[in-house]
Amino acid sequence: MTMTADLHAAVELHLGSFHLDVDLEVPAGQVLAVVGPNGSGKSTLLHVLAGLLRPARGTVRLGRHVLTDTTTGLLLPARERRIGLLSQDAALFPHLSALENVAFGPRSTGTRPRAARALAQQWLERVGMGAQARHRPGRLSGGQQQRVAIARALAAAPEVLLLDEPLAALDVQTAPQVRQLLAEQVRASGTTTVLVSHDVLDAVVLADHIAVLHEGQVAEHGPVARVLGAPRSPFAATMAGVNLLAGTGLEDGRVRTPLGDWQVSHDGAGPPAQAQVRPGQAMVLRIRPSAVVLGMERPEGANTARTTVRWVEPADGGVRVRLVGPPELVAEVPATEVDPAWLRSGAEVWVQVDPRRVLAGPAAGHESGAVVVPG
Amino acid sequence: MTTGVRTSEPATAGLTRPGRPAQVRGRLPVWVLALAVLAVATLVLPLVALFPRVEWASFPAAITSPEALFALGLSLRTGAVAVVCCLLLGVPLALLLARAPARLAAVLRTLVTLPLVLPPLVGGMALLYLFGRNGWLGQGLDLVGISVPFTPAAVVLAQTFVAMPFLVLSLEGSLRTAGDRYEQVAATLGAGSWTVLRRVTLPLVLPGLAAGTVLAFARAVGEFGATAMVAGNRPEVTQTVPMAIYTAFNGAGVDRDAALALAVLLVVVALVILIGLRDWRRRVAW
Repeated sequence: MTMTADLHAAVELHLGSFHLDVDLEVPAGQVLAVVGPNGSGKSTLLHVLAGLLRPARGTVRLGRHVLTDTTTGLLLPARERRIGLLSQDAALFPHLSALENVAFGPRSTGTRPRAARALAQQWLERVGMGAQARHRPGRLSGGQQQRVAIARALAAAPEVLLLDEPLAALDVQTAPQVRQLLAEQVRASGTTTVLVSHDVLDAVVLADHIAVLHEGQVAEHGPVARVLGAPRSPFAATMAGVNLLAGTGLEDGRVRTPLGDWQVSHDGAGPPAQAQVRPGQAMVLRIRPSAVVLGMERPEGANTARTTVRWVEPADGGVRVRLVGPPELVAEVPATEVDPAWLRSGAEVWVQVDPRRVLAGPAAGHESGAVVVPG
Repeated sequence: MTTGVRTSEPATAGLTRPGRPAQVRGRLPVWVLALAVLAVATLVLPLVALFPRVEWASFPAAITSPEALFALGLSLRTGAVAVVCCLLLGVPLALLLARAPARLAAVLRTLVTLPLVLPPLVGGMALLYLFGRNGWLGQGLDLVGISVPFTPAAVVLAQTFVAMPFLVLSLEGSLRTAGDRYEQVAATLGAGSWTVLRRVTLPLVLPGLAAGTVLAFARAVGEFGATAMVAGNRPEVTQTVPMAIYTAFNGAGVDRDAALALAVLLVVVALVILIGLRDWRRRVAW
C-alpha cells in the first residue's frame, strides 16, 4: 500500500466572468467526487491541482509539501507534483506497447528498465490485461485502453490521482466493469483521489465524499450517502433523481413554497437536529418523482398545485413528465396509469404529493466554509 | 421460389470481401478528373521520356567511369554530411518552431521558408559573399588558414542551406499534428523534459522525421545552383552528380550518353527511396 498524504487546496481564480473560489481537503487515501453542472469549475479545479493552471490566489498542499503558493509565486511543474491524471481519453502513447506504457512512469522516475517492466506486467495482470502486454494501443478496444491507462497512472505511484470523467467515453456495456476495476484498484493502492464526473454511479461506486460545485463555489458537501440521500442543492438533487422545492418554514409546521403552503414529514435521512420545520427558516423539500401524482381533476387533500406539462420522456416502466416551473417538478408515472389526456406538451394538470412523501430539511448554504471531510 | 423472396445470401456476395463492405465514395466531376490525369502526365512523361534515349549497351561503362564514380561518391558523402548537419540543427529548430508563441513562430517560419522559394543560385551567391575571402565569416576563417569556397565543405554548406527547410517544415508539421497532449501525460508520470523528448516527442514524429530526412537528402544530392556558385564545378574535387550531368550534357557527342545514364540513375534511386519510405511508414503506422 502506498503512503499518500492529505490534499488541501484553497484557491481563487478568475477566467473572464467566471470566478472559482474553493477550499477543500481530501484526507490521505480517501476519494472525493467533485460534481456539478457544466461550467461549474470542475475541470478548472483539476487543472489547478495538476499545476496546469495558476490560481490568482491561494495554495495547494500535499501533506506538508507545498505545490502551489501564490504568495511566494511557487508553482511546482507537473512532473514534480506526483499527481497522476486519468481522463476520459486514455491517451496511451501510441508508439509504445501496453507494457511500455505502464512501465513509462517507473522508468521516468529512475527504476531500471527490467524492474520497471516486471512492475508493469504485475499492474497489467491486476487490471486484467496481462495477456495483451505486447499489444500497441491501436489494437486495444476503448475499455482495454482505459484499463491500461489505469495501470499506467497507478504504476507511477502518484501521491494524488485526478480522475477527469474517466468513464465518459466508454460504452454502457464496458463502463460498469471498468468502474468496478477503477474502484478496486484505487482502494487497494490507497491513493488520495479527486474524481470529477457527471455520473452519479461514479460517485457512488468510487467516492467517499461528494462536493457539489455551482458557479465556482462549493454548494454542498458531505459523505456520498448523505448528499445523495438528502440533497439540498439542485444539481445534487438532479443527480440523485429527486425534486427539490425551496420554501420557508411556517408557524404551523407547514412550509411556504411557490406551489403553496405544503405539509411535510420530518427528514429522516438528514442531520437529526435539523429535522423540524422552524418558522422563518429556509427549507428544502425533497420529493421523489414517483411520489408526484398527476390528474386532470382537482384532487382532494393537501399539497396540490395546478401546472403545465413541459414535455414527456421515457422512463423505466412508464413515462417521466417534466412540468413547467419554476419550480420545475418531475413526475414518474407507471405505464398503467398514464392518461393520454395530459400526455402532451402544454397540457394543464393537477399535481398532488402525499405529505408523508415530502421530506423537509434545511436549505443548502447554511453551512458555509471549507469542505472538510472527516478522516 | 417466387421472386422477391430474399435469400440469406446477399446478392453482392463475391463482389466484396467478407466483413469489409465496399465504401461508396462521392464521384469527382469529370473535368476535375481530366485535369488531374493531365497533371500526372505533366509530372511523369518528361521522366519517362529519358528512358528510350539511354544507350543501354554503354550504360554500365557510363556510370562506372572514374569521373562518374567520383561524382557519385562525392554526392553521397556530401549529401550524407549535409543531412547530418540538417538533423543536428533542423530538429531543434523544428521543436522551437512548433512550441514558440504564434508571432515568433510566424517570423521564424518565414525565415526558414526563404531558402525554399529563393533561386538556389541566389542562395549560393549569398553563401559566397558570407564565406568568400572578403565575406564576414570568410575573413575570420582566412586568418586561421581555412578557405571554404570551392572545396567539398562548400558543397556541404550549399546542400545544407537548401535542404534544411525541407526537414524543418516537414518535422514541424508532424509536431503540430502530434500536439502536446502526450507530453503533458508524460510529465504527470514524472518524466523530465529530456525523457519526454527522447521517449515521447521524437518517437511520435518518427515518420515525419524520416520523411523530412529523405526529402532533405534527395534535395541535397540534387542540389545544383547554390553548389555551382559556392563550390564550383572542379572535376574530382567538387563535381557532384548534377554538376557532372551538366558538364557532360554540354559536352559533345558521346558524353551526352554519360549524362543521360547518370540522370536515369538519379531517377531510379529517387523512386526506390520513395517506395522504401512508403513501405516503412506503412509498417510503423500505429
